[in-house]
This record gives sequence, C-alpha cells and structure tokens, in this order.
Amino acid sequence: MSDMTAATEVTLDEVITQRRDARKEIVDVDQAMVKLVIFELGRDWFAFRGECIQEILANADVFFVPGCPPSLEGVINVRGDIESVIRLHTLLQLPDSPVGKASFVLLGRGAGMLSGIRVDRVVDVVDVPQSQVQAPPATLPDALRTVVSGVLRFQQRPVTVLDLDVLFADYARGLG
Amino acid sequence: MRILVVDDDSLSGELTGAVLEGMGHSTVLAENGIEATEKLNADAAIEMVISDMNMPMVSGIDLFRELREQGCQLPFILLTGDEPAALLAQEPRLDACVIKDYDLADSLPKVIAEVMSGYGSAS
Repeated sequence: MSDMTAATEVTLDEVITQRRDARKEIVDVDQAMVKLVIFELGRDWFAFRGECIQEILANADVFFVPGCPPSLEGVINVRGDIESVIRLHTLLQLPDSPVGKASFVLLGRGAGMLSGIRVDRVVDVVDVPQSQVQAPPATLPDALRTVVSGVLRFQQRPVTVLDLDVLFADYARGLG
Repeated sequence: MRILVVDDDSLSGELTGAVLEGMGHSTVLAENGIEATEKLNADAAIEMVISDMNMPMVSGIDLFRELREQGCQLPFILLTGDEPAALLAQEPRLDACVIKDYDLADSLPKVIAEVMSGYGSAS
C-alpha cells in the first residue's frame, strides 16, 4: 500500500511539474516581443530597436563634407533627400573598420533627427521576447554608459542594445 | 540582376534587399503577394523573385503557385524560418528554399548562383 502511495505521489509531482511547464509555455507565447536590428561593429554585436530604423542601405555612396567633425562621415542621397551619415565607431570610441571593407548604412530616426549610421554588417532583424533584454551591466565603459538600454545573448554572442534617441540627442548637443 | 523581394516585415525585406544590393543586384520590395504581382506586371526587368514564406493572406508558396498559374516562370527562392526540406516536399517546383537567419548574407549568394546556373546563367 505504501509503495502504491509513493508511486501516486511521484505521479502527482510529475503532473504538477508538467502543468507548471505548460503554463510557463503559454506565458512565453503571450509575452511582449521587441524587434531588433542586430549589427556588427568591429568584433562586437550591437542592436537598435526596429522602430527606430527606416531603411538598410548597401553600397551607399557617401559624399565627404569638408570641415565636418570626425564622427560625421559625410552625406548620402536617399531618393533625393540628403541625409548625414554618422560614424558610429567614432561615437562609441571603437576602432575604425579596415578601409575598403563592405559595410552598411542604417537610416535611423531618433530625438527628432533622421540620419544614416555607418555599421560594418547587418547581422539579422529579429523579434525577441522583451524579457530576454536585460538591464545594462554597471561595468560598461564611459562611452557606452548613457547610450546602452539593455543587453541580450543572440547566437551565443552578447548583443548590446543602443538607445538611438539618446545617441542622436547627445550627438545633436555636440557631445558626439 | 533585378530581384523582387517580398516580405511583410519591411525591415526583414530591407535586410534581404541590402544583402542582394551588396552582391551588386538591384532590388524592388513588396510587402505582400498582391503588391508583388503588381510590381512584376509593372517592371519587366525583374529576373528573380525572393519571397518570405510566412505572410498574412498569401503565403510565399501560395504566391509561387499563383505566379506559375499566371505563366510567370521567373526563378523563385523561398525564405523561411522553418525546415526547408518540408517546404520543398510540399512544393517541389520551388527553385530553392533557404533558412532566413543571421547566416543569410553567406547562404543567399551561393543559392542564387546555384539557381541561376540551373537556368543557364552565371549572374
């Protein structure tokens, strides 16, 4: 009889565990998602929230503007509209990519400003659960501290999520 | 080569387009099957269609079947987040089916080259 009771207890435990797991799965499906444009700068992966990015441009001809600051690469013509191209490497105090390496320009909007943003490679556009984006660690370098809104892991690599509103607002204030 | 990219997720379509433009192709973007059909009818220079599978109303496979029914014989590559083999079994006439993931920039050029060699072109 006691053996039967033990067997029943084990079965009940299993059922409870299965139900808890099943409930967890349902919660996972319902949780808020966030779209991220993940890109590479040097050896690091970063991301902007998808709603901030309007276009992904390859082979964009960037025209140098004499006298512009180091963080401004130049301007591009996007179907007749002239937009600036910001060199994100410089803003984040990362080493420049090798000359001649293929790269992309993200056309982003933040803090009331529209501009191109030079990145090395666009890795992916993904929808991830909001819960996967963790708060930024306290150990971030000074150049990143104010502009990082979160971190996550994607394809076993750390991805730093940047706040384009803060980045552009800092840039417009001349802090870039 | 001029390629029609069909994706209801405009940023994903932008990414696919940017990968293709990085290869030297020009792209036309459409956000659904109806817009894709309109763009194909309006632009005779389009030589290939690359479409996402999971789209509302008209899926990538449905779009492919509709185009073939209309007599459009352009090479057609399906992008999916699912298992490609199952989709190819479902529609064997597809020229290729590619997983749409972070590896797309590497996988897509190879698949396009294979598909175009099957059509007797190296572009």
